[in-house]
Amino acid sequence: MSPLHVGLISIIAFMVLLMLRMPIAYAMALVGFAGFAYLTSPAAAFSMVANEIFTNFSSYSLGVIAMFVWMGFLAFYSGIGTKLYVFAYKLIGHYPGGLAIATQAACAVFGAICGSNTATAATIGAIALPEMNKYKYDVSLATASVAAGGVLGVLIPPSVIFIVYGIATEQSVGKLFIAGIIPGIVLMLLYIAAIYIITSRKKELGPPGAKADWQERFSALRGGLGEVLVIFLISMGGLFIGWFTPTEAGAVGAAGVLGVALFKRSISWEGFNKSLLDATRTTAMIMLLIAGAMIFGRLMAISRVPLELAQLAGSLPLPPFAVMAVILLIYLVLGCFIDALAMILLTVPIFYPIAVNMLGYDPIWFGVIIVLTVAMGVITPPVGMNVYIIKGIAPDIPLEVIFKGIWPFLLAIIICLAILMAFPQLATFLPGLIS
Amino acid sequence: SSGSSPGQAKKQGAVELNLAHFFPATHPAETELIQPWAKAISEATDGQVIIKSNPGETLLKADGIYEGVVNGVADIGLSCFSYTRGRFPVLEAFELPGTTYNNSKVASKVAWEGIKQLNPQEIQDTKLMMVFCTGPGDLFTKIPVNSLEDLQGLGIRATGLSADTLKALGANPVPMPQSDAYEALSKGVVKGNLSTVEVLKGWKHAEVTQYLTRTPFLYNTLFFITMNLDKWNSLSPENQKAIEEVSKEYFEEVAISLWDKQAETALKYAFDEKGMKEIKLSDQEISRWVNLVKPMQDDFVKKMNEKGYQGQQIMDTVKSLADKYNKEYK
Amino acid sequence: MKKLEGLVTGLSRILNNIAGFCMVLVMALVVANILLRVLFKHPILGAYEYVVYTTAVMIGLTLGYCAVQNGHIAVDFVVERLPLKAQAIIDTLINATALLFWAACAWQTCMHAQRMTANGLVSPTTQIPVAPFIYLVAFGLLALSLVLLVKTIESLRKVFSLSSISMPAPNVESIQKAAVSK
Ligand code: NA
Ligand code: NA
Repeated sequence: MSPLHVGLISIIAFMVLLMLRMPIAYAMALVGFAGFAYLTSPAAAFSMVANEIFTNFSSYSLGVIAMFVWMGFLAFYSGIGTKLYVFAYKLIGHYPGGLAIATQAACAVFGAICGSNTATAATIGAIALPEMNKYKYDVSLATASVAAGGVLGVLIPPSVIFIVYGIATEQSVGKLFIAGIIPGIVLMLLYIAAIYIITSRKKELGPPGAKADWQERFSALRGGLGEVLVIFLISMGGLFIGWFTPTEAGAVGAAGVLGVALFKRSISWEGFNKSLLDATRTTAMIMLLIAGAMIFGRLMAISRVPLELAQLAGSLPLPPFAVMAVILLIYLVLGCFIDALAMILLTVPIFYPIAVNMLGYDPIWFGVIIVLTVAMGVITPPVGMNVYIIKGIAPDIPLEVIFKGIWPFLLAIIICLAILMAFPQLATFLPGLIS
Repeated sequence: SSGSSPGQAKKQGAVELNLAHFFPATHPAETELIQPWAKAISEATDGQVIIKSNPGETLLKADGIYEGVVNGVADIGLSCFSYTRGRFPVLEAFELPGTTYNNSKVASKVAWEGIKQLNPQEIQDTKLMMVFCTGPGDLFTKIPVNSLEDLQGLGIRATGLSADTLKALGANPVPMPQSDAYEALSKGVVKGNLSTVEVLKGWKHAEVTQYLTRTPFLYNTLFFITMNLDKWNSLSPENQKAIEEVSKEYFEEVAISLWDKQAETALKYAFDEKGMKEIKLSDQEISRWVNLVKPMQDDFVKKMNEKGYQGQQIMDTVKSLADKYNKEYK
Repeated sequence: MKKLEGLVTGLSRILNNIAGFCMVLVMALVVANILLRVLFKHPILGAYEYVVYTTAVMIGLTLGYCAVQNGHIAVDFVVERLPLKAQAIIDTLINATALLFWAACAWQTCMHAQRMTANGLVSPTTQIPVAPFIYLVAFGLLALSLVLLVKTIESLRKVFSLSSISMPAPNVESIQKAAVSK
């Protein structure tokens, strides 16, 4: 059997194990191991797996996820998250879907501190899901909006994916960061529009509340949001002044929330323990998934499935626009199985020369397009890291219920892509100013 | 691009070897060294040995590459010895500060010839095909560093041996991965980086630093290209010989000057496009710096002696080769 | 059997508590390092390395308890439509496969650690040995395997206790019960 066949059979085997209710992380690791063992040797495959597990668990850039996740649970158990959502509810809760809309804004703001889509989804999810549940929001809408909101975390700078793209293509990371700002805001607005449209047509999905007067709003604001503001200002300010790196911001945020909660005596010993229990469980779940995805990615690398697909796209006798569409389609398909970072590493070296050198697209613009397309992969079934993370936070909700709610947001991303195709300036205008 | 090199026709019964490295697919290490070298090997072995490159850590992470080659995860690997500290105790001698390397040619010749002379136990578990170096590294900073005094307490990103070096000089080494350094420099979390100037362009550090202090006695990094021993032994003697000849040619013609060429383009970019300022230390200043890092070489000798190696002999080998090649390649 | 469940659940809970402590430790380390760096210009040289290895241990030691709580997510919707007996058979096979795989991984991770000891691998900057942390992760994988052993026995028992005619599903798995009652 050729490596390519082994790769394709492995994808099928993975799907079968998935359907047989094997935990996703196990299935990716097991199939990745087995395929690798077949193509090299069992000893080599075991060495690869042992190495991947420890390297990913001890990765500095991934370890930051743990701190952000804990920060989210601390905010939940100390009631700070509740206060935020009470305020948001008083402010825009009378619009249909108001809290889901507020959640998108929260993701965008949080995305300015955190560079990872998974950490954004996990942190905001820990705070937002119980609250939207309280106000009787539709489960599908609530969970999907947080999973999709996580995408804003990598589009709005800082962003791990832009860094990886920048290094793989020798493009300016600074320019890429700036290029992501406007598309990030556009996507947030499209998300908000999507939520507003579906909840206006079916009010029970995001039931509007009574309109609060300004006095109620101010009292909600006084009820302890000052501290949240302080934490936020410290985190943002500290990042911009240069006290700490984005990787360290998670620990600062967790310490800030814990400090406020202790100062206000709003967290019990039990709540503290629960926050740790939930945070460790969620982190372990995410990290085993990432390790599994990496192991599977190693098999994909030596089986050369992504490579063959990419070369196929490059050889098609089509006009530039159509080749671009084929590239995006391939990303969408691969995104169903491969994790975002692994996919960038595997495919950008092949697609970048086609898109930029052959077809003449702008490299910064292409970076934004790739980040958006790859980000689509983290919410599409069957392998959608962000959806898995939401499932980890809300274990009672079946995966398919979350995936069911994803479609409006997926459509929003596709519209965002179309807008960027039609108006590339949206991505290239700001970075053009600094050169 | 990555993957099977064009022009490599696969023969019946040909051996396919997976090569793993961490450089991006666009990096000269891939485009100017690995790809042409692989193609030349395929031609020299009449299509019987085909090397498929997996750049950008797609097959193995940088610090797992040597071990991965030992265990057969990859057949061939290209990475740095210093990513796995303690694993190659003798080879650390080539990276110790206090030895001046004029350029990457000198550093590469010293390392490869020195390794052949010393033939240390630590590299016997793979077939070492080539060792080449970055050569000297420099300090690039957000504030000018004209003297030791400017360096005192300054937060500089550095890991491993370089962290020890900066500590000895009185700076504040801040270890973080190269991938975090851009953000950290841009926001001023750290005020500089000690590395090869290639990083100015490759990792865009010229966007976030303004001054470049030349320190050709502070830094060196060794890269290896090595093959799984069983895979090597499975090749026919003719193919082994052909591969050794091609590797020798690519070492001399490409590898040893790879970093010099990169330094050249990176400096052009940094000075002309990004307006960075170059700072050259006076001879007197240089000797102050060298005096501060010299004890690290003495420490090395002492530690190696304790472990049962000939510490002084190792250090002397490095020194005499460096003297020899610094004269040859100015 | 009950005794084994209790033991395994107890062990993974203890490991998870240690993991929680690691979480607090990582936060404290990062914040202390920032304060020392910003206020006193004297960062902790090894902070980065300690954080990285402590995080690895934290994740490793949580794997088992995460599995106890069914935290490693799976796709339910196909299998849950099958008769209960078929479900139990599938679960037995899947759990047994996972058990074998992770037990082998635990063992191989130990071997990996052993090789790192033999090679003298230390951390790049502070030069502390890396192997002990790898051993702890291997221990976490072993705990995961033990939990899977309990799950395998449990689903196997269901295969024999269920008649081929479907009957109401038990709500809570005994392992979860053991986790709650402790
Ligand atoms: Na972000
Ligand atoms: Na997907």
